[in-house]
Amino acid sequence: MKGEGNEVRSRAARVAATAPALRAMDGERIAGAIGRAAAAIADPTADVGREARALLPDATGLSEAMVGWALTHQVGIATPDSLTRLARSMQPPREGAVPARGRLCVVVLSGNVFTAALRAIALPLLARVPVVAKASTREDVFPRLLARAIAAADAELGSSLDVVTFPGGTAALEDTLFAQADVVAVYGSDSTLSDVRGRLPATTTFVPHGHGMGAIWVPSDALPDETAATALAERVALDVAAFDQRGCLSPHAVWVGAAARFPARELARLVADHGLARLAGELPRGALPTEIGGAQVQWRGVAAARGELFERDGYAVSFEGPGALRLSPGYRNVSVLECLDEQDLFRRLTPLGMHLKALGVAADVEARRSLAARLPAPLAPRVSAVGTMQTPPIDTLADGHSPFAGLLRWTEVG
Amino acid sequence: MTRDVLAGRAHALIGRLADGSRDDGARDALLRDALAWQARSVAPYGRLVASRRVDPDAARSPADFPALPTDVFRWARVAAHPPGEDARVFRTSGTTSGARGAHPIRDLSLYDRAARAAARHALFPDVDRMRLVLLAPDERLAPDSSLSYMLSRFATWFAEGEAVWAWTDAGLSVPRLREALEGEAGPIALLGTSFAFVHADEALGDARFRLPEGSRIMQTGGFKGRAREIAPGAMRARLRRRYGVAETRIVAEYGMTELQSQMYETTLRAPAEARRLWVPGWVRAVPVDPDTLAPVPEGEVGILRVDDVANVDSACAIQTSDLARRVGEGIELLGRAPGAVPRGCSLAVEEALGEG
Repeated sequence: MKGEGNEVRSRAARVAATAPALRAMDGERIAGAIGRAAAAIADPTADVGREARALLPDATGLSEAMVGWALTHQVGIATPDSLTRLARSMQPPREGAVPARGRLCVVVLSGNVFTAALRAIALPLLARVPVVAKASTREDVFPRLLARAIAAADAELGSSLDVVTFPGGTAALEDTLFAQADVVAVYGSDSTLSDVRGRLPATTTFVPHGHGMGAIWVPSDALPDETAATALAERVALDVAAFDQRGCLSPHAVWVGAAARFPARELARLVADHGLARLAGELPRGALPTEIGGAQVQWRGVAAARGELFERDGYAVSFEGPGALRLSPGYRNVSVLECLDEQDLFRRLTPLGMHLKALGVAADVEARRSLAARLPAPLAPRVSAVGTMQTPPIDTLADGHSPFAGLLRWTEVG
Repeated sequence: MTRDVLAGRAHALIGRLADGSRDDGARDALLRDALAWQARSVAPYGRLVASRRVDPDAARSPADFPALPTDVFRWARVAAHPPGEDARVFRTSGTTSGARGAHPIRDLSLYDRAARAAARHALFPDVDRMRLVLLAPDERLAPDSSLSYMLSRFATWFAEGEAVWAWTDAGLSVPRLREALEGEAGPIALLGTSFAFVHADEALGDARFRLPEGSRIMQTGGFKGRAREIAPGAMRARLRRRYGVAETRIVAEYGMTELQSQMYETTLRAPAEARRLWVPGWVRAVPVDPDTLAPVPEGEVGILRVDDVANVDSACAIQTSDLARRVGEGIELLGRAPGAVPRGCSLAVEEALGEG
């Protein structure tokens, strides 16, 4: 343990020692290198892209097709241009303030959506803060490939990044790492956030990114007929199927306005038999872990006993009328529920609090903007079109905050 | 087929197989008839059967019927009879959300027959009666606990003299427990929940006991977030050190509010064999694939489905979330695997909403 602690300390120190060189680096150079690395991983013909497609299905439990979709739609979008735009969004809170960059940012990665590591690692680098990413031993494939691809794109930038894992996960080793950092950003469950927060030195900045879920709202006027319902069912299905519904943006419930001319029950059937059925072929679900299977059996059984269950091979949609939300186990199990109107929706969403990370709304952008302004606090930092919930832009806000919030401080010059 | 005919057949079958014998053909025939009747008489089970497109009249074996998930007991009344005919309502332990499963019992005689037969076979095979020390609240303190009901019946059926209840309305009574354990009056059966045993272990400090030859310990139930989880092997080692009994005298019981029959480890009857749960002849226990719900091959891990003929008035086929594998005619229970794959983001929300 002592030897491992020394190694962790020396690796963190080695990365932190690159801080002066990273500070001096041109922002476009950093964005360019990360963008080239992302493009290589997203490219199925590149060596690293092939390796990603070979290793990630086993590491993540996602199907090969789902891994390919994620690489294309979430990694491939990290172009040099989009990353440069992201870096430029880092604005001083007051004119004339200059960045006071830390020596080291430690990022604790979560394992549920593997592509999240891209932004988690890119943000501190774009802020020109060296980063050590701590990955789980089970899902360290993507961060390691990314680190290698960044080093291949720009060796000097690559020296400002390291990926570590602690087999068996010891708090002592984590604490050794945290002791070197000015900023610790954590992606994980409430209990992980609380645990790490309590162990940090008082002067270390803590940047939490908690887990959560998504939901979909279908106002009554969005369902005039079967044609509209069929198109909507396809978009709902994509949001549900992406990452096998394991992401923080994944919808677990679809609430439908009770006055819709097309019945909510029929929308549930279409989501199953049209939307998810098609994706079962194009983007198959990964293997179901036995532990999840236990929860799935319970969730589906209650749905069948209380309402209706459209259950097929590898996915299920429940319809339980205006019943209470029961959180699904994920893995392509989603509820369609009725609610009276927008006020009723808000009443149902309120208990989710900050855990509601995304609300997909079947309405145009003006209507979404209007609804976002009326949402009860503190809900849904992201309100998006249905079908795009899982593909936020690379410069999307982080839990409603600037993506760079907490990653660097500013020095006010008087 | 009427309810009373089914109940009569269940009584007869349990009585006939109480000696540990098996007649799987008769068991399955009764289960089939009972499930077909329940599909028509128990509303949530009927909806599940319809959803799975099963024709109750065409089904030929219990395996043709779906099993009702235990969670349904939290969300719907699972009974063929109206609430006015409930003899008892057993409830599951409280979850953080306060939503507790309820199992309405119309006929306690079926419960009694199954509980007595299984305990006699697996827990008291060698004695008619013995001193009982109980680490659980009695049924007056916990009237909706099926475990307390069962232990209260044990006090009547198996106790030599008055059973000692070491759990009072104030919680664990250490003096009462010590007094009972330090007596010289012969072997003891110390029965309780895992949670209570952990609590007692902490309260007893350095005290060590050497229970008389022939003593035994039965522990049941998980921890339900009320104490830190202790692996079964570590728990047995603690009990051995604390109470001075061989590990072969420590028996785990598997029971749940949603079932009227229980399963016990075979340890007392077959101390030289690997631990497994004995499945009484009137119970069908099958680990199934969580995705397809088809039985998994022997030795492979699945989630446990239990069919219990004693559940005539609710649902005879119950789907649990417990991991298990079949070993010969027994079941090895694996609980929830340590380091289970996280369910992703929804788990955190579930914790926050208290739906766990």
